[in-house]
Amino acid sequence: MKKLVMLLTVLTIIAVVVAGCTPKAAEPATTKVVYLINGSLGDNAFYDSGQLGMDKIKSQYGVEIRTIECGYDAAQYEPSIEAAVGYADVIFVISYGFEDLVKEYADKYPEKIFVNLDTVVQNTKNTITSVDYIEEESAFLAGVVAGMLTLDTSIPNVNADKVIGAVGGDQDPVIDAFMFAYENGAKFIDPEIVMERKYLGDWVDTAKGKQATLQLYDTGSDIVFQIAAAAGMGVLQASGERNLYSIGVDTNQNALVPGHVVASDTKDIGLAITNIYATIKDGTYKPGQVLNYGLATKGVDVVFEGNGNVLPQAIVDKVNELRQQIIDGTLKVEIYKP
Amino acid sequence: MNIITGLINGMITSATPILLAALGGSLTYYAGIFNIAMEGMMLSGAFFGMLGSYYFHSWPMGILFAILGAILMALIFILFAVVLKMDEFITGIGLNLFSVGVTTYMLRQIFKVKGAFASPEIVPIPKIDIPWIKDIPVVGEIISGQNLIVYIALLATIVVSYLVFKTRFGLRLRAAGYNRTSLDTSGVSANRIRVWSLILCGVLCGLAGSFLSLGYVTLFSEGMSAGRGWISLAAVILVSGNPTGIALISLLFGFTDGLGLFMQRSLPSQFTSMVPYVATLVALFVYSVRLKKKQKI
Repeated sequence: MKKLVMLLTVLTIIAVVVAGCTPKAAEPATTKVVYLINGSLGDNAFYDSGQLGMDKIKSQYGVEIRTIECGYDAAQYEPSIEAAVGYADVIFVISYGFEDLVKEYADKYPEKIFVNLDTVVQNTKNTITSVDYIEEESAFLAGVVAGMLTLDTSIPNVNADKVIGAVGGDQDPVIDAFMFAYENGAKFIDPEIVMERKYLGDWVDTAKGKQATLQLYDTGSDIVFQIAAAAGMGVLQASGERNLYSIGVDTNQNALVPGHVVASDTKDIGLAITNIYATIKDGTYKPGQVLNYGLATKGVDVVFEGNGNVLPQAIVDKVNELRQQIIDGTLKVEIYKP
Repeated sequence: MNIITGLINGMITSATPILLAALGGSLTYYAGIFNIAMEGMMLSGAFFGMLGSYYFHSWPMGILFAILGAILMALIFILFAVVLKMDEFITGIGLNLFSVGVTTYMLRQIFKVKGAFASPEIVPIPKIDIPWIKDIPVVGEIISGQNLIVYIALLATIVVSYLVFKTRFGLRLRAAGYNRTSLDTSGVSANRIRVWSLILCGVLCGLAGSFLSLGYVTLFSEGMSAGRGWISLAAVILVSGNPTGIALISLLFGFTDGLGLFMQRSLPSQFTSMVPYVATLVALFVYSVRLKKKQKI
């Protein structure tokens, strides 16, 4: 008898606890959102664009937001993610360098929504949603711009050589994906075009970025694509000094050296944040997905605004035409495989 | 411009900041100070140079601010290493780290940007066209049309060389390093000579900094000295402070820097990044062999 009472009590407790938990699990709280980044805000590009997305969901849905910056300091990764899960229901994370920690914490806190931006991170419980940017699509269009520009000798100072250049910060899979698609884009216009690449081995040395660019110009390039973060400012300034051309990256850098930065290959982090938060709100969000952000979703793009109208309309038209073909799926851009 | 003149011009521009900072380092080397703070002085000079040029819309103010910014760092060095007699090595390391921190902090506070700051308001230091010479093919492209600081660096090499070996100040400078007690007993304060050598080092590093942020590129980015101060230290030690030797070594560094980038056409970039450092080791070896031969005679 005693045992039966005991059993019943235990069962009741379990029933109450489960019943108490079930509604919570079905509809998780989503009012506190954290933006957790490995770097720091204020870069006017990558991280700041994510912050814009955060500000937007704050004003639109009235959620509490908080941004946690690790400032590229590996020692900050663990305490930051600990703070993030302690506070937030939804965590948007840029996790270069601490992917494993994100996996571990997502497994430990399956009720929290983890959205990993810019890379694909999958945990064993498959609760992380990843946003994968298809850099190849926009870099391909950047290559089209460069290829058409170097062929068009009616543009001031463009020489007859079919050579284009690119300056990367260092040799890594993301940079090589950019270079790969950029070269393909140029060769799509004319297979004879040669792409010369330089790696700086540095992301901040603007002087070295400029020196590499001047060398590319000396060996016949008319246009140089910068994929070197802050060091790339040297690339853009070199194009101004030589009266030649360059292509910016991550954000619209056209106005930095007007008339010389002819286009920019952009990546919109904030867009993914607002889109995904909208799906969380309307209940269509599914954990564990990999969302591809390419030209079709405007996650990446090539923009011309603010370039001082130096490009002939034919190039702009061609880029618009190819962009549409890529979105429609009639033109397939090859994806880089390291 | 063809690739050869391009490489030579690249060599000159890469060598200029290293040369100026190394000349500063040479003065402190002769004064017997183990000064590793050129990196920090240069970075501070680059930041304040940009600041001066931005606020006053004039490049001479930029240069002046760059020099003051670097002297500020030199004064901190003097306070700890000369006045308080702290370890020079620790002071130097502290100063280099402090310089990175303080310039980054001020960049973020004043301009609300992180990473790099560029603006059309920053007036660059002009390039100088020399009449007659600039019309000579090839040679004109190299000798004329360089940045003002490049010519200043050339002049500074001669001035420092003269200062160290031909003046009374130079004699005292070398005495301060060689045997400071005898200098003190002769009635000249060795500490005073050391203070002056550090201030002059600040001036030269300030010029190097202004070349970085106002000469070659017109912007400031965090940590933009990017190890040039350390390379200049290597140059000083490599030739035991001799200004002419420093000029040659700086040119060698500048050349290998550009050569490394150029060789990426046929070699993997990880390999070409080693070029400047391999050249350093080779130079060190050649120098030590020559020294040994001299000693035998």
